[in-house]
This record gives sequence, C-alpha cells and structure tokens, in this order.
Amino acid sequence: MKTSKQNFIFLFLATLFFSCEKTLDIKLPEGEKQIVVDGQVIDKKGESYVKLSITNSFYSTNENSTLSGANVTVSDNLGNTFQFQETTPGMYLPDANFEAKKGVQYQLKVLANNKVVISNAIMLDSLEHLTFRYLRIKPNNPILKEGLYVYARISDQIGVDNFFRAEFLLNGNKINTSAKDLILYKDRFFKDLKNVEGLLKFWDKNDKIQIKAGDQLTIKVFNMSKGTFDYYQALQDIPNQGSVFGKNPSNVPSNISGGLGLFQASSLKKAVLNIKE
Amino acid sequence: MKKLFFCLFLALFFQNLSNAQQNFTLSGNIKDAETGEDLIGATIEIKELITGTSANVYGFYSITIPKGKYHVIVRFLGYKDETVAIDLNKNIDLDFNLKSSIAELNEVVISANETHSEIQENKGSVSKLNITTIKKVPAFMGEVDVMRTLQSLPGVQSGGEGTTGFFVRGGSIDQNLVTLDEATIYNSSHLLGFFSVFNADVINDVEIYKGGVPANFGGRLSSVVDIRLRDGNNKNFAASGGLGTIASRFTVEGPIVKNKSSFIVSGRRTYADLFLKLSNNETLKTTNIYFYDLNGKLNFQLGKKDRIFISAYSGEDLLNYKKEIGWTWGNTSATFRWNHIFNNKLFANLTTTYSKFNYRLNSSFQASKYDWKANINEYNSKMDFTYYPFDKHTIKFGAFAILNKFEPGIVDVTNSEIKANIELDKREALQTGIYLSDEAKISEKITVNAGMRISVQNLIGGTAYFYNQSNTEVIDTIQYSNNKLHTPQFAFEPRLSINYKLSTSSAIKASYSRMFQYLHLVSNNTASIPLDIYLPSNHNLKPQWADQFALGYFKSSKNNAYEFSAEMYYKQLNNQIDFKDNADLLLNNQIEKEILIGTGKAYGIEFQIKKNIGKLNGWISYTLSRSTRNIEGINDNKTFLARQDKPHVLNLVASYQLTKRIQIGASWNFSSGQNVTLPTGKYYFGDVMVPVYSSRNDYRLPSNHRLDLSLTIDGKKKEGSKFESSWNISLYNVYARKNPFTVQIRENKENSRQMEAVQLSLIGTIIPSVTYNFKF
Repeated sequence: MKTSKQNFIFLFLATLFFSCEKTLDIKLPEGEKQIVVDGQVIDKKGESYVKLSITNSFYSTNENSTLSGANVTVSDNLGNTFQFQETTPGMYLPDANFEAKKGVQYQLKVLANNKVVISNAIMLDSLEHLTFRYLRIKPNNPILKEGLYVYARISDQIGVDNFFRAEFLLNGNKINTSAKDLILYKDRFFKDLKNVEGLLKFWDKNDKIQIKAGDQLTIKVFNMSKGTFDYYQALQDIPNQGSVFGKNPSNVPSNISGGLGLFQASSLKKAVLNIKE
Repeated sequence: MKKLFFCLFLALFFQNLSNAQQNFTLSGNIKDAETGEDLIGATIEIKELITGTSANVYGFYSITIPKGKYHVIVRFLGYKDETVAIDLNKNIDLDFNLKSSIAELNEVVISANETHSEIQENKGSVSKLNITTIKKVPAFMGEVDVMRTLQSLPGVQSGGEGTTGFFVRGGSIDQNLVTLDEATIYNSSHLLGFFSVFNADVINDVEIYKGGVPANFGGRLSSVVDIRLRDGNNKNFAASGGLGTIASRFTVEGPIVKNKSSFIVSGRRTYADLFLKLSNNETLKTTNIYFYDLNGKLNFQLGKKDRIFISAYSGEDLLNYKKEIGWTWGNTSATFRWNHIFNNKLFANLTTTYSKFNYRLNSSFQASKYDWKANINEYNSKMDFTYYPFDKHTIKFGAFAILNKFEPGIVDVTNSEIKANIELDKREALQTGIYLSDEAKISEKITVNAGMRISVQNLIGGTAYFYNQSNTEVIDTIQYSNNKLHTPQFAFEPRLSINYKLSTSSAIKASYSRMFQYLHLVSNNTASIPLDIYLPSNHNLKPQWADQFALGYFKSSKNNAYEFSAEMYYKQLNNQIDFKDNADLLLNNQIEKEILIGTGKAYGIEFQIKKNIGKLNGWISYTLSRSTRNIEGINDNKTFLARQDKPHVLNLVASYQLTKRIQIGASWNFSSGQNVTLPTGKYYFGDVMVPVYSSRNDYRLPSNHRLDLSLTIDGKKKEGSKFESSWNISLYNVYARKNPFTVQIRENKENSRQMEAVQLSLIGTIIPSVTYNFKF
C-alpha cells in the first residue's frame, strides 16, 4: 500500500522532470535449472496439492515447464506418509479424504531428475472466529466512494502474531491472481485488539472486475506461518523491485531445500457471500 | 600502534622547547575590508623566513617566530595582497582587511595576483571550494548547488542523476558528515535529491575531507563536508536575491552596531505549486509541491577577545497528492558559538548545536487514515582549543558530547473501527570524547600532523533485544530504566598526516586515518529517499570503522596558476551493514534481525589539474577506483561490487570570461554505469512471475555523461550606484542524454509472458532555465 503511494508521488515527480523509459537489450546468462514447488497442505478436504515445475530462462515466453514423473510424498510427525499422485502434468494430489491437522509437522519429499527436494511446515490453528459481510455503496454517497466493500470481522488470538492471506473466487473463478492483487494481512501491531472489523477488499466502479447482483463471491482466508507470509509478501514486492522506491532486487525467500518455491501448511476459513442488489 | 603515536606526539611537542624564549607571536584576524566577513584560510607569509600560516575558520591566525624585522604578506583568492613591514620585538596583534581585487579593477583580470597554494598546506585528500567558484559552475534550473559542485571533485561520486546524495572514495551515502556552521544536516536534499538544502547566497566556504581527517572531526567513515555560513556585512546594509525558473531567493544583511556586529537573513522558496493551483486539471489543482529554506545568523564582536555567533536553519519539503497522500520532510539546525582569544597563543571556541531531521507520511482514503511521523534529534556541545605554543606548532585539543534521540516511528491508524497508535521503540545514545592533535613543522621540508580522538558511546534507557545464534528469533529482552547508561562502546582513532615539500612548488603528502561511526543508516531502497531509519550501535550492531591510507603528489606551476595532484588511497571498511533478502525494515522494532554484517574495501587513484587564474579557469579530474563488499549471507558469501563502484569518473569544469560583462560556464561529467542485479531465470508461482537471481550487482548499466552550459551577463553598473544585476541562462543536459537511473524488470504490456528489462532515466531531456540576480 505504502509503496504504491510512493510510486504515485514518484510518477508525479517523474512527469515533472521529464523522465523516460527505454527497454534494454541485455543478454542475461541462463542460470542452472531448478525444481520449483508450489505445495500446500490444508485443513480442509480437496484443498491440498503439490505442483512441480522447472525454472525457465528469463526471456523465455513459455509457461512453467511442468515436472512430471516425480515421486511426491508428504509425511507427518505422527508416523503417517501420504503419497501424492500425478493427476495432470506437474499436478500431484493426495487421497480425496486428506486433510492436514492442527499442530502437526509435515514434511514434503520430492524425488525427480535424480534430485531430492525437501521442505517442512507446521500446521497452525484454524480461524473459526472469522465472519464476513459486504456493503454496496451507491453513487453520490457523501462519505464512501461508490463500489463494493468486503469486510472481515475477527476475534483475534491475543498475544500471537497472525499472518493471513485472502483469496476471492467469483462464481468459482479465482479473481485475485497477480502480484499486486495479493491480499496479505499481519497483525503485528493489533494483536491486543479484540473483535475488530477491517476492510478486506474494495472494488470501485472502474475496476475490471464488476460484481453484480446474483453473483456468488467465495472468500478463502488462510492462516499461515510467518515464513509463508514472507514468501507472499516478497511476491507482492516483485513488481517494485529495482524501481526508484522499490527494494533492491533479491530472491524470494524459499523454504524448499534443493529447489525453489513454497511448501505451506495453512488453515483455511471459507465463506460464501451471495451478492444481492 | 597507540604507543607509537604517543611517542611521536611527545617528540613533536618538545622538539623546539629549548629555543622558545627568543620568539614572539604575531596574531589577529583577516577580514574582507568591505563586508567584514572572515576570510577563512587566508594565508600569512613571512617573506624573510619563507614560512607562514593560514587563518582558521573564524579568520583568526597566530604565528610564533624569532624576534626580527619582517615583511608580512597576506593573500586570499580574489583579493589584493597586502604587505606590511613589522618589527617583531614583542607579541603583536595585527588585523588585516583585504580588498576585493575584482571590484576595483576595470580591465578583465580574473582572480588574485597570486593564489594561495595547496602545496604549503599540510592537507592531502582535502578540497576547498570557494563560493565564487561554486557560482561559476552551471546549475540545475539555475539553482547554484554546493553539493552538486562537490560531486565534480575527484573521489566524490554522485548518487545518481538528479540526486545530491554522494559517495566518497567508495563509502556509502550515510558515511558523509555534512555540517552547516558545525550542526549536522542529516538529509541535505530537497525534492528527492534534485536540489540541496544549502542556499548559496549565504555560504562563505565549503571544505571536504576525503581522507587524512584531522582529529577534531569524527563520527563518519568517509568524509566531512564542513559548510560555513557568511556572518553578514558589518559595515553596510545590503540586499541580494534572485528570481529563478523554479525558485526565488532574497537575502538581507547589515550591521547591528557598525564594525562590531552583524546579521544576515535569507530565504528561498520554490513556486511550482502556485502554478499548479491555476490548472484546470483537478488532480494537478489539488496537488501541492514545494520546498523552502530559511537561514539566519547573528554575529557579535564583544571587545577584542570575544565573538559570539548564533545561526539557525530551517527547511522543509512538502508533497501533497490529491489530498490523499501527504509527505513532508525537513531539517532544522541551530548553532551557538563563542570564540574567545585567551591570549595571542590560545584560541578557544565553544560550540553548541542542535539538529533535527524529521519526516511525516500521511494518507487518507475513504474513512481510513494513516499518519506516520519520525525524527532524529542531535544535541551537540564541544569545546575546542587551538594553542600556538612555540614556533612551528599548532596544537588542537578539545572535548565533545553528542546526544542523539531517535524516534523511528509514531504511527496513527484510524478507520471505521480501529483506532491504533503504534509507537516504535525510541532510542537514545550519548557520545562523549576528547581529541588532541599537533601540527608540527619538523624541518623546512617536513610538516607532520599527528592526533588521536577517543570516544565512547553509551545507550540511554530503552529496550535491548537479544537474538538466537541465527539472528532470527528474540530469546531475551532487557528493559532499561529511562536514564540508565548502558552498552558502552569505545573508539580509538589515531590520525597522522605528513607533508614532505620537494620544492617550493611540489610536495608529497601521506596520511593515515582511522574513523569510527556509531550511526547506521538502514535502507535497502534503490534510490535514497527521505524515509531514513538511523540506528545507533548496540550490542548486536557494532560501530562501523575504517582505516584509510592515502599518498599523493602535489605540484603547482607558474606562481600557482596551475595545480596538479595525483593521490592514491586504500580503505578497509568494517562492520558494514546490508540486509537479508526481502528484509522488512519498515515499522520494525527488531530491525537487527534483518541486518547482515560484513566488510568492504575501496581503493583508487585520483588526478586533478586545476587552472586558477586567467580568462579561462577550472579543473579536470579523473578517478579510477574500485569498491567491494563481502557480507556473510549475500552473494553466496563471495565478494561483490558495491553499488557505488564506478571505476571511471571524469569531470571537466570550466569558466571563461568572454568580455568584462559576459562569462560562460561549462561542465561535463562522465562516469561508469551503476551496478545492478539482474535475474538469470524465472518461474511462475500461481500467476506471479518470480525472478531468480544468482549473483549481486553483476551487471553494469550504460555509462552516465552529461554536458551543462551557462551564460552570465552582468548588467551595466551605474557610476555611484550600489545596484548590481546579472542574468544567468543555463542549459542542463545539453545533448539530452538519457542517463540510466534504475533498471526494472517487468512484463511486456502486450505479451505478459514476455519479460523485459526497462531502464528509467529521470531527466532525459535538455532543461533550460533563466535566473535574474540582483544586489544592492
């Protein structure tokens, strides 16, 4: 949020000082190919998966090169091992009844291309005390701008730093997928507050996505570890890397040993809002 | 090492004690005859002895020589020499009032008959900029800029196009101590670095120490920029000012009691915001942007032996975007100084300064409001003595105490339900210390300046965090009571410089200095922005320190018309900070968790040729250098090039007096491109493209170069009228070079799967400006 404000100011100044952009023709050496993991174990059935791919050269226009034929297992510290089966190229799913359990430690192990990739994650508490509502504001409201507001009310766990990520599905389709659309929230400074409501998302009248009466809006809020949160926050910062107010370019902090990406154990609170007028 | 210094010091001190009885002291002040301003650095030469000294920063000089009859010649750049015959058979007080050489001469003659030579001075790695010189350099938007001129000196590098942040000899931006009348200025830039906070109309003198720093200075690793304000005319009232493209300035000065006391008040403000208000565009209309500077100084001569100076500065930048985002930042400083001459051999100076740098960022969107305030305060008191005990010695000693108060963030967040006030840990640090140095002329040829600075920093109160071995978790905290001094850290800084005169026109100068810095600037932004977080050293974060060795050859010819210098340096930097990948620095009390520590190295060679007199004067400087860092946890623990590593830097600065009233100025600078980190691969996580980097700063952006020109036309001066005026037309970036400022990777607008590296240039065009200056 703050970075985008700084960028506003910067853009203004840039216009003032006649700045200009030029695409550079830079030859970049191609780094070593690495295994990329996008894996999650979730406390709800049907939400866990492991997606595997291989890194590409920077200028390549290919989609992720999926990694097929890997042996993917997730084991827990209670002695259970779950085999994940490849269902479509690069996508590995557990048994339909699999759901991760609170307080349990999970270890992901991938065997592929003669390499072993390992990662660990601990499942956190679930977020049961979370409720949602929406508010539609009509034009010419004296206080609030026209648009659709979604609020989340939380009765927080006192004394614990919580990290959340919210995902929206409009009529079953994911709608916040780009880096700048990631909705992340940490309560480092609000952990002593109880029963607070915050604005989760706002769509104004000019937004590409317009939510109409009769639409079904699914909200998924993941409670995750600080490491997972840091990973998402780094994703969010990517578009600003190297910009005037952005951070110096650096790698996204992966928890995968022997590869890249993220393996998370997160709890999920899911709710559906049926949008009326 | 310490013992060696002590012995050397004693040897120097007692060397001439035996024949001290035969000597008498000549002392006094050197001033401008018209305005009463101190002529800092004016030289006094005893013709018969081929020896001399120079006036200190208060225009005071003192020299002790054997009894006898002498001719004393006083010189200062731009002034007529004055020669006085004296019979030194007792201690003599003798003041000099020099007349400007330019004002009196009708024909075109630039500069003094003979200029002061740097060969005589025991200062390597030091550059002095006279305000007349600074004003000759073409200025961005017509605003004469001290900091920008400094960046055309060898060894001083620009922080990037349009920025006034600078790097000295491979050090970082925070390793430069910038002082205005001895008060620290924490952020010397306006408008995100396009202008500096120093209004040239009130500046008397600028000196930069890049190495061989004398023991009376300390607190930063890489340089000291000592800027002195004018005292104001103590003979006549005068006003001066300028109307420029972006800003206007006005200065009034005059005597309070003639010849005894004076005042000077000056203001500068930009006025882009006034035009924005006239716009029809609602966004522009509600956007506000300006900066201003206010300077004031009072100067009282209390009898022959005491002088009091009070000076103050305040400046602020404001940016408001559509009433939604507001950003202000600024510096405030105040100085109180008391000079006392105990006798013709002992000069004392008590200085108390206050500095504040603050910033505030606020936003209001719908019912949500966010307001973040932060500041750093410095209270500094020091007592300095200069003692001229006997022939050929100048001893400086003193004590200092600096209290720093850091308030990194007071944040108010309000929305419909939450009203939270977040206050980050305040930190306080007290630095106290003493120093002693002796400049001794050991022989006709050798002058040595040896000194030692000793200091200790204590933290006061606050919370101390203790981390686990991997520096990721807090394992313990200690809450100290408010006034409790704790966590002392000591600094011993030996300094040594030697001047070996090869002839009257050439010298070899060598120096060694150890510098300590208790302050760390925490910033991992691409550009230097005024959201600076400063941290004092603590048990997790040791003070930065550096050893620097410099060796140079200095030569002047044709009566100092030309000066040549070549100087090598080697600097080892310790406890340098950098950050973990994706470090979270904002509003973080446990910021040490995000910091990585390592070492750095910087070395190079600097050349400069200067032409001081004649119709054409100026300088060419070239620096060949390298600056590397080695930080555990970065670049696989391998050495990498620092961002400021720019191997080649070339500067040409020239001014040419075309006719009596027309002067042309030009400056051209070239530097190697900046190092940046670019990806070697990528992957997609969901829909987000994730770049993969392999090594730090391994790609160099295209080189930077730019030509600026200026034309100054003086108005006709009427007989008997005090009114003077001039027009200055300047062209910045004459051939519209698009110098790269940053490079950013992003998705192609048409094909989001095609990545591209995009270079951003801040000023990609020629910028003309016109300024009208007046004086009466």
